[in-house]
Amino acid sequence: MAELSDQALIARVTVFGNRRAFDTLVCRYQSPLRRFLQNLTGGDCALSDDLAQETFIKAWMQLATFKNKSSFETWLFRIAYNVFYDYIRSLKESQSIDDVEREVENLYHQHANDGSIKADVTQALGQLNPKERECIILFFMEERQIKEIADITGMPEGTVKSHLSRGKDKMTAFLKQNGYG
Amino acid sequence: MDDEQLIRQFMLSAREEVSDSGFSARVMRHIPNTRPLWVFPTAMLFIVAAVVALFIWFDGWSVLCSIFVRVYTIFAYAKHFHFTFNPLYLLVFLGLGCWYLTEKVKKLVY
Repeated sequence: MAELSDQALIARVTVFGNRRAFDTLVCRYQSPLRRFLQNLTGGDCALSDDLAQETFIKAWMQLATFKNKSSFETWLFRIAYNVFYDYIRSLKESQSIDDVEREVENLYHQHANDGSIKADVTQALGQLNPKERECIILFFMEERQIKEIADITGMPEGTVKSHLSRGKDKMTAFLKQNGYG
Repeated sequence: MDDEQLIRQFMLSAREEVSDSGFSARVMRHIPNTRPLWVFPTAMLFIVAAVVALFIWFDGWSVLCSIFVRVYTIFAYAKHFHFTFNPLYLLVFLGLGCWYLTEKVKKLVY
């Protein structure tokens, strides 16, 4: 079943509830999804695996609502992004935007030095604020287009571009300071 | 090398494939059963019953025999061999067709 397209597999899951087809989709996308979540959580493998699992379970439950407007992978990343922020919000009683961003920062720096992802990249990403970091990870690490990043994060394309621009400036400064330039 | 290339190269140097290591199996163990187990056999039973009813209602056996005789005659004519129709051939043909269809449906569902 591995050679079937995403659309064919999705049709089998939605029409027949075919678990083997969904298993193929999980195998196909587990790596980019877990890597994305690992980067968001500062390299916390256990947490990112739990969030990835929740993402796939939500995808299974909501697959009938997938409208093919974006690729399946982009849709999956959007669920993962929302699952990540649901988790962050669950850590705090207060749910103001500042609180959520502070919590993302705490989570990132708590695990950033545990050696599970390359230390320099983690340190470089640590210079950015959460939104800039998400845009930089999706653009450079996951090689997503601006429109896809906007779809995943729910930000307007213009906002994504400005986060990317500020993130690039900070990353460039960091890289030049540390002898990469 | 411009700044964007520098960042891209730097980021891609840290990009690695995450090995499955049992993750997919773990996810599949936690996937809830959204379809009760009795749905597929019951649906199949209804479909088979409907097909049998239509078959009887429209005298399906004679229709099938005439189609089979025509196809078989054309084939026999093309291959230059003597043709005598035997209903057993049709039964074998139908049996193989049913088996093939069942396998196809099973693949779609499970």
